[in-house]
Amino acid sequence: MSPEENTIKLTRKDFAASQDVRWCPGCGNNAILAQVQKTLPELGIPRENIVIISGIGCSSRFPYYMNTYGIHSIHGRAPTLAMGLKCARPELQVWVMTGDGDSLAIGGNHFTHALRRNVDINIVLFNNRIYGLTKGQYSPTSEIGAKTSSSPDGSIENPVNPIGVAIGSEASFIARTVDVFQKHMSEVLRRSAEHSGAALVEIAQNCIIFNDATWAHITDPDNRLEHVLYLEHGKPMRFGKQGEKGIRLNGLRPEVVKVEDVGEENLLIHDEQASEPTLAYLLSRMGPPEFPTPVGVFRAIKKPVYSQLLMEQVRSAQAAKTADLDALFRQGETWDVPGSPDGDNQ
Amino acid sequence: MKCPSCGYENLPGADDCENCGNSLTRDDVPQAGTEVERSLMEDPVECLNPIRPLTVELSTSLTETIQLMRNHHIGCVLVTAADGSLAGILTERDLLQKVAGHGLDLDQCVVQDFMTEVPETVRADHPLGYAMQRMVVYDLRYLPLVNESGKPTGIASSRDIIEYMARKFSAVSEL
Amino acid sequence: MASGPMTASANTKEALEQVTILFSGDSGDGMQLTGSQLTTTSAALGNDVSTLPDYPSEIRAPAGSVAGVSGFQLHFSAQEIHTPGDNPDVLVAMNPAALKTNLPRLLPNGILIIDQDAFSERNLAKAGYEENPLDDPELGSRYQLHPVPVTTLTLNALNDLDLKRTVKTRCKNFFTLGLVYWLYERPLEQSLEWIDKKFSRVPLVAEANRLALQAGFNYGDTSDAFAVQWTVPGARNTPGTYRIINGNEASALGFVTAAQLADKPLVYSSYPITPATDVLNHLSRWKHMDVRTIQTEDEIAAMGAAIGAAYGGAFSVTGTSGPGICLKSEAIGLAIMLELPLVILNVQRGGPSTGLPTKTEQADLLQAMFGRHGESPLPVLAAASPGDCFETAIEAFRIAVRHSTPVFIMSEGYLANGSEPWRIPSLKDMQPITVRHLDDPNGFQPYSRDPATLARPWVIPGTTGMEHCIGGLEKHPPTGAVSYAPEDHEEMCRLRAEKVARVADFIPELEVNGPQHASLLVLTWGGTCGAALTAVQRAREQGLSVSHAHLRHLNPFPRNLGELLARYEKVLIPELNSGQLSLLIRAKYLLDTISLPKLRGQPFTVVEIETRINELLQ
Repeated sequence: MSPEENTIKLTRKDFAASQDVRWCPGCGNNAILAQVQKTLPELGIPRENIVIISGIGCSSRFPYYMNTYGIHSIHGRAPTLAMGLKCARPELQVWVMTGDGDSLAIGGNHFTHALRRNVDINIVLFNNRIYGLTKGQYSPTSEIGAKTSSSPDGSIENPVNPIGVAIGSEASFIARTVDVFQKHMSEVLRRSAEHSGAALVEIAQNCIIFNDATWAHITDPDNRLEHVLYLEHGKPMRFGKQGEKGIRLNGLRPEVVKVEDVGEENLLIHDEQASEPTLAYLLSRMGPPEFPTPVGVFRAIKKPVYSQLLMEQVRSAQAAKTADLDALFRQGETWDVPGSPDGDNQ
Repeated sequence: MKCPSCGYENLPGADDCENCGNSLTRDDVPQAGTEVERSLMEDPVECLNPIRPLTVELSTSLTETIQLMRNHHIGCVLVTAADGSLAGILTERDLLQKVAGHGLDLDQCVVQDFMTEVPETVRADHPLGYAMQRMVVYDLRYLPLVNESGKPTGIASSRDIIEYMARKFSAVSEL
Repeated sequence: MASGPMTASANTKEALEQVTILFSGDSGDGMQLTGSQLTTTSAALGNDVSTLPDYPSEIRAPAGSVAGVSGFQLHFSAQEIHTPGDNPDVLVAMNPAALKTNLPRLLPNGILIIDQDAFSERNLAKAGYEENPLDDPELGSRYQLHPVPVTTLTLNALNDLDLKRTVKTRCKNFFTLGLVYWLYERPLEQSLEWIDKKFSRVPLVAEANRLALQAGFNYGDTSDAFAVQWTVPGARNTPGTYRIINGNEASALGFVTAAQLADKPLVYSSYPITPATDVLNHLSRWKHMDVRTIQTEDEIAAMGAAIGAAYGGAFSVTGTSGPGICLKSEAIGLAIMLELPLVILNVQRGGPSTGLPTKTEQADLLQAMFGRHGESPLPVLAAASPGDCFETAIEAFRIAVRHSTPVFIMSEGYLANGSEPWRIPSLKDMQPITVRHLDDPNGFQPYSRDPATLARPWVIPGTTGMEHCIGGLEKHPPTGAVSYAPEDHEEMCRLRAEKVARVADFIPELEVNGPQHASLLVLTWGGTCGAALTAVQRAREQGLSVSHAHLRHLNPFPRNLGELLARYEKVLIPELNSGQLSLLIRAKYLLDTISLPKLRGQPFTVVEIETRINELLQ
């Protein structure tokens, strides 16, 4: 297709690479790839300005399957490359495709700092609660007691949840979606792309081979409405087959109530833009058996963006002082050794 | 910090002034403002002239220990092991909490069972401020002094520090 | 003490070729300032200078303690010099701890200037002296001992000034400076001007410093204790404008210059580590040159960020020391696979592990060569002197860009903190660095090769129609598609190795200082250059058959190295490690080199190398 200066109308085909997709049939990544390929064209960004960086893991095969600029880097370190790239080229749109092991085990350090610094990147975390590529060891998000190849007697480790870690890292955009919620995923990805600052999207993803049905309680279409709380900014929190249940705050603790018992006006109203992440944190703790699993945008606030702040400093410095290399050389005391003029006075 | 020589505003912790090159390493450490502060920061514990401690062995009876404490008008004894190293300390407070009112046969009790084992200690060259801090943090009135081999050489008490400071106070005209 | 008018001295004047003077005192005594002032003044007079600062081992050690001793060694000369001097001829010790630490290094019959006011009982105890060394008659007979009541004299000189006593005492260092100026016939003007400029905010303090400087000078002049003055005439230097520079600042300036020569932004990613931190500090103040510094959360992130920035098309560099290189190794491997141009600076320090952070060493060479899993070659350069760090930085970027590869620069603590005069270069004499970002999609393949260099194209995101994915997995040449095929791996390994080997076609042949054939060749790399050059010069003056060659390029070696080495009967390699270059030369050229290792956290002295040369040529 010919590069056009003005309106760029891209389609899904523009983002499909020629490489054969090598995920297992039934892998949640296939659905995610489909949605990303569908969503990117709608963002109105020239394809050449999009860069996808991944680490290591099944999720990290992503860049090969997208027809954009991409780097398949090393385990856990994708956010660091993304950061360097944004500092060199703040105008590019950078995505980090990562997994639960890549971003919370080996990459935990870089994950928290990228969010803390509010580097304008989109981190998409494929959480399948297992190490798929290396054939099935438990991960930092696996449930305690999980029986896996490296924990045949059951994992003795407490998991973390990515949303909680992101809140602790002061992330300015935090969302969760599910690999089979196609429309929802598309909408969440679009919002994360539009967000200025570091965005985390956790995608509950199914690994059909090594950890099948880990998210079944929310993906099973028959029971989905009972187990999923769709978050919408400004709306009361309701779920259930007829939306008959809701969430209410009792002191500092949320509780599940019947809407008709308490009245909709007493339900918790979702606020993405709250300046404190307290509500987001409470939501991040919600899950089975007592609570539905919240999906959607937990938090979306405006905070100064790292590369913008950096470039502001660069620009003010440039405005205050001309870029004179010779003057830089001559900092401090200099002296002259006289002799035949060699024209070194710039 | 502001360079005391040339007035230039340096970043915190800079070793040398960015403007005039003068060393800042002595100026950014906390300085003693008054003689009392200086004394606390610099004078060693041995300035207190700590007394030679009263010592008993591990197997000494409480009766004997208490009698010794009474005879010498001392609020604590140090308990030494066979090799002379410090094993524990017994104070008036221990007697109040662990002995008094428990209906014990003091002849049959040995000091080893009532002492505080492996107590906090200081060296003779530690600054007074350090000894004070130990006393506050660990809620102690008595601090045994030990030498390099762990043998007790003295006792410093909170009273000693108070007396020393009181002399300093009266010596300093600004107060 | 009278600070009367300068009388015509009844002193004798003697000429000297060179002087090595060591200022040492408590870290609060301003020895770095005194040393740098003497350096600048001497350089301005035309002496060649070389310095070696010795920083205290602890951050805020108690005043007067041995851990708090700070030193500054300056070597100035009427001739060209290459080292900060072996052992000092003059030791200025401002307190007992400084004397204790440095007296063993003072040459016999050396001049020993002591601030006797600082030799109180308390200070003696802190230094671990049971008795006052000044009372020992041995001291006076072994050295030319000059106890000077520096504090008293300084306070006297400033008697009329309305300043607190603590402020006046701080002027001691200027008193000492003034005395040393008199001893070596240095004029006061430059320092007086400097004082006026730097202390303009506090005119009273400026006055105090001026008076102290003058008082020290006058003391030398009028005191009977100092009967001799020495002159060290100026060396001849190439005409131009000069300044003093240390290795870290030179590296930083080199990086900025390289980026300017390519009209690119510079991105410097780093994590603070001794002795490389200064490079980050310098660069973070030069934003007006479009320098973007990133202080990352750790060393690995710094290398990752450097890769990302290079991928984006910036001139990208990361600086660290040995422990940081360990952490970066996996990511360096990725950079080698991605074949992106970037620079990695290792300011070496004593190792292994935390080692000796403030001491110098050259023991990371084999790590630079082989410290990654798999076959992972890359070009390795080393700087020879503080000023040379500038050239090496630019050279590294040229190679990185031309050959699409990460490039290692080996610097060391000794060069990073040591300083020497540096002739300010003229920008218009420097070759621009041509950067070509391929933007023609026709027939584009990410791993196609330039026929001469085997470099792959540097295509940056934002270029229309060239979207592609690169990664750390092995590839099929030239498409870059992931491939585990045996023939592809073999070919890619060969290409990566050959690409680095061909750098030799683009770098100059190695030159020799001295005869083209001789009984002995001294071969050096890194900071050992100066001491070896001087040792070889002296040996040749004695009539010995010896030459010196210095390697800037350690991988690949210059293409004539093998043939050059064969022209000498013996090859001696002094290095601050257990024989790493020696190992490389032996392996590549099947040559029985003679290694001269040194692992003492200190640079080579000229005498050490000279002695070995003499032994070998018996």
